[in-house]
Amino acid sequence: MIYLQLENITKHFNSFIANDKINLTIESGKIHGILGENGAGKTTLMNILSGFYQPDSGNIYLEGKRVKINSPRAAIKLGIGMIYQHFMLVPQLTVTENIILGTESKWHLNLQKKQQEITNLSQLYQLEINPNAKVKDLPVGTQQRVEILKVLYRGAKLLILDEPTAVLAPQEVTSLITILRQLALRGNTIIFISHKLAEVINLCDTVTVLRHGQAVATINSKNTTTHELAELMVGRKLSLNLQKSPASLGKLVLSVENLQVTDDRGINAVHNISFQLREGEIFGIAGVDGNGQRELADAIAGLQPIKAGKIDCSSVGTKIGYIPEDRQKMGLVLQFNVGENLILRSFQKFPFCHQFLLQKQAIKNHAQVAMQAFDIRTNCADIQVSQLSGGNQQKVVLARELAGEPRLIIAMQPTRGLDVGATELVHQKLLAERGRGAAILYISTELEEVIAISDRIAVMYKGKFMDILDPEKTTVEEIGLLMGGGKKS
Amino acid sequence: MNNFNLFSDYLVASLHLSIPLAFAALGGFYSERSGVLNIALEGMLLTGAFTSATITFYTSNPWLGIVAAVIAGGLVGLLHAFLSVTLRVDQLVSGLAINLVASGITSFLARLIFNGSTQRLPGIEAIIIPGLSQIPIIGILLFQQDIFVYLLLMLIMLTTYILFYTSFGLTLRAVGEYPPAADTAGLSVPSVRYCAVIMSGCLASLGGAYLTLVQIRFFVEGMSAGKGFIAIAALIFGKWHPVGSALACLLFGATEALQLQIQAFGANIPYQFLLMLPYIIAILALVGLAGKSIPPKALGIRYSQGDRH
Amino acid sequence: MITPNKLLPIISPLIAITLSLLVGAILILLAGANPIVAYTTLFQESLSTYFGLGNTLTKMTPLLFTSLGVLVSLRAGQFNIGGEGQIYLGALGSSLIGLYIQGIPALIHIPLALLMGFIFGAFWGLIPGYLKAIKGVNEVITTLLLNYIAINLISYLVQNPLKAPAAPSPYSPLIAKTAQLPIILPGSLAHGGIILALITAGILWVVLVRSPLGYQINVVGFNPIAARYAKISVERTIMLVMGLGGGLAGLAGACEVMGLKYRLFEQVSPGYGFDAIAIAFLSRGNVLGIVLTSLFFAALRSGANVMQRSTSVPSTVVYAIQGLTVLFIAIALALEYRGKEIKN
Repeated sequence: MIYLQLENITKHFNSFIANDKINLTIESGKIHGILGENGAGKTTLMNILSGFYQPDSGNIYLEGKRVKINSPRAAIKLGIGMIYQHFMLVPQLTVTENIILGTESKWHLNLQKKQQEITNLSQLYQLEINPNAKVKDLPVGTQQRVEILKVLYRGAKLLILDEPTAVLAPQEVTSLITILRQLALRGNTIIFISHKLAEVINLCDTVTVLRHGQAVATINSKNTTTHELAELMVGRKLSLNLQKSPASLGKLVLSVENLQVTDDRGINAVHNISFQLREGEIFGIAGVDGNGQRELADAIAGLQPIKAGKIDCSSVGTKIGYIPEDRQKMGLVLQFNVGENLILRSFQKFPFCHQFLLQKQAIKNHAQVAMQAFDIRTNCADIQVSQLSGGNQQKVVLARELAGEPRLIIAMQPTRGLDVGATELVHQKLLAERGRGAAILYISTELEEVIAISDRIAVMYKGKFMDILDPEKTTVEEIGLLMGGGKKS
Repeated sequence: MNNFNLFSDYLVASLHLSIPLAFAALGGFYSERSGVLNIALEGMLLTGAFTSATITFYTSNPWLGIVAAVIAGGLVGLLHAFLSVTLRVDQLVSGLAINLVASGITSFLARLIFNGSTQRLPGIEAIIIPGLSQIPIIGILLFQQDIFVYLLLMLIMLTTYILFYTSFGLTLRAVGEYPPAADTAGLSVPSVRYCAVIMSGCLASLGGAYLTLVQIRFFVEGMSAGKGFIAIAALIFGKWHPVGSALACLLFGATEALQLQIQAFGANIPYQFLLMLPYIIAILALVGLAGKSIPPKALGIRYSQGDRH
Repeated sequence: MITPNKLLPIISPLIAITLSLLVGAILILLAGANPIVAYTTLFQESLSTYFGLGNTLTKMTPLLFTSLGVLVSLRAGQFNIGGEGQIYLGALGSSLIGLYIQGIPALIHIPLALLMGFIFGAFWGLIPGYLKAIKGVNEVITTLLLNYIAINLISYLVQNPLKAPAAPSPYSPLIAKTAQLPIILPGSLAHGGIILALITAGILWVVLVRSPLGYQINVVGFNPIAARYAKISVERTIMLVMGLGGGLAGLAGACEVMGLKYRLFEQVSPGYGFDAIAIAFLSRGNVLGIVLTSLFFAALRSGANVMQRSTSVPSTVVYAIQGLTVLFIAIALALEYRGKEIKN
């Protein structure tokens, strides 16, 4: 039986067409995947279904009846439950308080009663949670379960999950998949939005691929491969293999011994890590976000004090390039233009500063050269960097950090949020640096990338290196296991 | 016996001086719990003081003065809400602007209306509860006060209950800590914030009305003298909890009361140092609490629906 | 080419000022006077008469110095509302040099007194600066509270240790002649302080817009996280701008004592510190804008008394007008911000 039907859904934002005549049907009790790159229109479609936007034209049918989803409240009333990538939970409140938020207007919240109701509900759906716990104390996987309970409590029959596995460890992913399959068996309909091909094929019954706002294909997942889906997503033939020459290692660049680093809250984030890095080598670090990667990177870059152990990069001098994981928050000053951002590390040095004044011409020239070399596309060099696309912004960061031929480069999630073209360029430039003899620390959650680009891979879990592997001899499954704290068999 | 009376007088004075602070702090509480920084408490206090004085001056009815003060305060709150929630002006700037405007306009209009007259306004007398008010110390403190004090005590208890045991309180906390959660749960973040900020205006205004109708009995330009800012310090010191903040106000009131009693205690401290004391204590309180008193997470941050993604 | 976008920073303050003058006109009507007559009297007196202009320049000096102080802090994202208190401290510092050091030539005495005024003001700005940078205490409240402490401190000092013998009301003895700023418009009150203030404005412009220090301050103001990644010390920058801002306000106080009053009074400043905030916001962080707006506010204050005498409109109407300009410019800024958001 068809549960949801979208007919010619179209949505414009000024002249930009976000959704272009999208047609979709999903049967009840099925899990339907929606695949697409950033900017393909997944988010807009999702926002239409959850009542945040209204489509410019087109119709939505739920169980055969035409409906208008005018607001988030209306969506909830229609039984549509949205589970966002960034959880919509208030960390300082308890599980119960989060679940009942906005459900009624009462002068007396009977919290005891509500807690009981929620415990019953969680047992019914086999989603174990403690109703009294404060959300901020819960691990990520459990928080997601609270999110799911939240929509079930409101009577959702259609669940939409947006990139739900982005922050989960591999076992938590398995857990989630089990829960979703169960929900489907109970008659709930599920939409699973993702860009992770293997997961989608594994979990979903059917898949729709979005590209540039259009639904380019709807396929039964049993009849396709990850490669075919990837090509549909991108629209052209992909070469998933990077042109990588064999490593030619040079002198020792970085030596880390028994390193211990605490994070901002004083908790040990890095426990006893030791490794060495040589010229011409890319050392990949795989791991789920939040296992100490940032503290490790910051410590090596000299931005975080060390609690114990030694970091020796004295042969490097001060030539370290650092590509931070959040270019907008950490890597750029959005109100500055390209030139001003490029001198962020060197604004006090010649030729940008001479006789106590900034040299405008030198800064401008430098910007022009960099924009050429890194293919930074903009209409005018004077505009604020906030106006540039994510890819161009990242290129500015690269241009700045790779200038001056650093001997050690630390790259944290360098391709996050970038489209295929920009990702290719980042990898190209890093490989070029490797060829030049730089040592590169490549920290990322994207396993395929890490395997493709690294010469050696360390897997980081709870501040320790679980193992250091040879990318040519290992598999995604093995790394995934280690990422979740499992031991190599 | 003398010391006993002295101490009792001191407590009563402390209580009285803390009332305007407490009303303002309670107002600030609602606003800031919803995530809207409210520096305009000073201006709201002043507005309440001025409005109640003016209306009472013209009508000789202090109760009308109180009502007028609440309405005027609500309007100022509405302005702050409009500026910071709808227009998305920086909340600090909005608060500062309101303080400047309130100070300027009340000074100007006061000259026109009162014209230097120091005629005392009809005020609000204390309500004496028979029997209980005879108990030493506590009797005077709790059972011989005017309506403002009783109202304040009720409001504090009511607010604590509202915050933790009602839907509105839950919504308020959610909006102040993580607005996207409230938004996607179908609640209107702007409506909650408007409501909270208007309430803060009404409450702070009541504090001002207390100043003119009970304590000083006429309006003086700039009579709020930074009490609105001390109220904010009290809010931080009280960790944004209604009872904690009220106690902090009591502390600051006690400090201010020292100045009045110091001659009676026989010490020879210049009055200026005693005048400084509440402000110094407020700063020390803030420093001591730094890092340990955590504001509502969304405090001071503009929010619009697009911010979810 | 001048595009509409480029004109906006100039147009919006002008609109704000016009609107507030309009509302001010309503207030003047309430007072029973003719707004046109009132405004004409006010501006004519303050800008086109010799003595009046002198008065205006005199009032412009502390306004300009203090607003520059607010601006410097604002560039690094700090709201320095303590200008009033910093002015008082600066007045104190320069008075001490003027009262207790005698017998040195003006060429040394004046710079020394100014320096002490700067240092005292800087100290008063460093306290909240340190508390913000190192302890994370919000600077808006601390700077505000420090104002009241400063005012009371000066009041005590002027009534007791610093009081001139046999003075009928609290004020200090005259400062040494060699510590007094020269009058630049003979027969009026205008003193050399205005020249100092204008020169300071020029230097500050160069520093903020063209120097690496200005760049550093901007980075901290726009994105302190990125500043940290660029190995800029956010803490030191915050303390620097708060100290510098306090020092500039201190200079305002110093000039009031050394150029206008020649002694320390209980009331050093009639609220210049708060006006400075309004001026800094109105000028959108633009040094030239600050100079012009200070002139405007100074004219308002300078002409207000004459206006009060001849039309009996209370001079406090100018405070109302100043407050309204801040309100309107805040609205204008918000609308502009929204306009940009919608475009994106």
